Amino acid sequence: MPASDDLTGVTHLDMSDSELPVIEETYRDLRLPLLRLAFLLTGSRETAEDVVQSAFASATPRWPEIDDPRAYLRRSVVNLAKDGQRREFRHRRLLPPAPEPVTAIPELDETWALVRRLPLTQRRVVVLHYYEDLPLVEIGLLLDRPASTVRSDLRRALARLRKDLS
Amino acid sequence: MTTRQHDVDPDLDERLRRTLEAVAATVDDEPVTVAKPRRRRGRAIGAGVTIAALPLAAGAWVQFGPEYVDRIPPANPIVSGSLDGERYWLVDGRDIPRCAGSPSGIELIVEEDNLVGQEWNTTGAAFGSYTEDGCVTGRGGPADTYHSDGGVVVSDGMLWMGALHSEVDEVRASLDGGEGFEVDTFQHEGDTYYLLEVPPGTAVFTVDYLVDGRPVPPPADERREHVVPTG
Repeated sequence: MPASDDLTGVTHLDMSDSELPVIEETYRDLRLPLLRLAFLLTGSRETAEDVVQSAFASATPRWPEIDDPRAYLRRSVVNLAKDGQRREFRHRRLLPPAPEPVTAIPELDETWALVRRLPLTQRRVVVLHYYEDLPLVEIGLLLDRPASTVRSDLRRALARLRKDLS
Repeated sequence: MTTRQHDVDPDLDERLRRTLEAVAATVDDEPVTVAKPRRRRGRAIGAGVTIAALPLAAGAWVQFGPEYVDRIPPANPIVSGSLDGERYWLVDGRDIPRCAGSPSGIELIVEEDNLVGQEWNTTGAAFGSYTEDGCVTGRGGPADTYHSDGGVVVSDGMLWMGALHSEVDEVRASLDGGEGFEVDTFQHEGDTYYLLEVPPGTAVFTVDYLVDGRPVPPPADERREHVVPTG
């Protein structure tokens, strides 16, 4: 969905005219990176789209108070992705969702399949550490988990991946 | 580059980084395109299987290539859902020309094991023992229902399914010794089947088949209790 279309709907919100171009620019800059992060976290493009749209929708009315939009939106995406997974777990979907892409590189597809099989908490740590390149302390702050727990999550995830790949 | 705070494994680190970058790069603003099918050889039932498929005797089986996954989600699913975020579909089992007259059963497709372009990796179920040609007979007694179930590990949970003898009128399950509950069944081409979602974190579950309210004892080579594989 084009940014201009999507964000037209927020003009009725209580914000100055000068803020709207900034939001639109942020949307153009961050939508795709956030979509990719959401996809890695959820494994579903359909859910990733919902997550990113929801993240922007919730950020828009708070925009003047947000110091670091990238960090704010990333945190929203991480949290919404978790909720999205739980929602999918609770409700069986009877309508088949859209197809999803693969890399077409067997080694990478194999690794991706194993990453997707990780428990959600471990997968979030792996994605945030290796894709977003965040240090464990920062991941802990993002996930509201002690850094030592995050370190343990990552160690278990790597041990499992190492075993599955061997 | 951040400072790593865990046991360093450069090969695995690099592989994960490349994988996540490549997978993320498949997401763009364009409509999703289907990857061209390609051949993946060398996989076989047993140690090389990346999912734990637990087919039992008689009418439960694991289906592997050489056909390729050309479409996800599959057309005309009987049931679809997701377990721990992993999508799955139950579809009509494949008709095998030499098995004309045999029930085709149902086939379970778990998305994470059936990416477009890879060989099919599915699990099926139909009631009855096998002929020498490998066709399902559809014959047997109520206790043979225990031979016609099986499951697939999905994330830390499991999808367990089965094909019922015509006299079996109820499927009851319990998770980790908890209170028993009735499992929904469904009809497909005149036969009755069920699919049980075993949630992540479950260690042990039981499945009983009942006739007129009474559990059918499992045969000597089968059990009503199943352990969810770990790791």
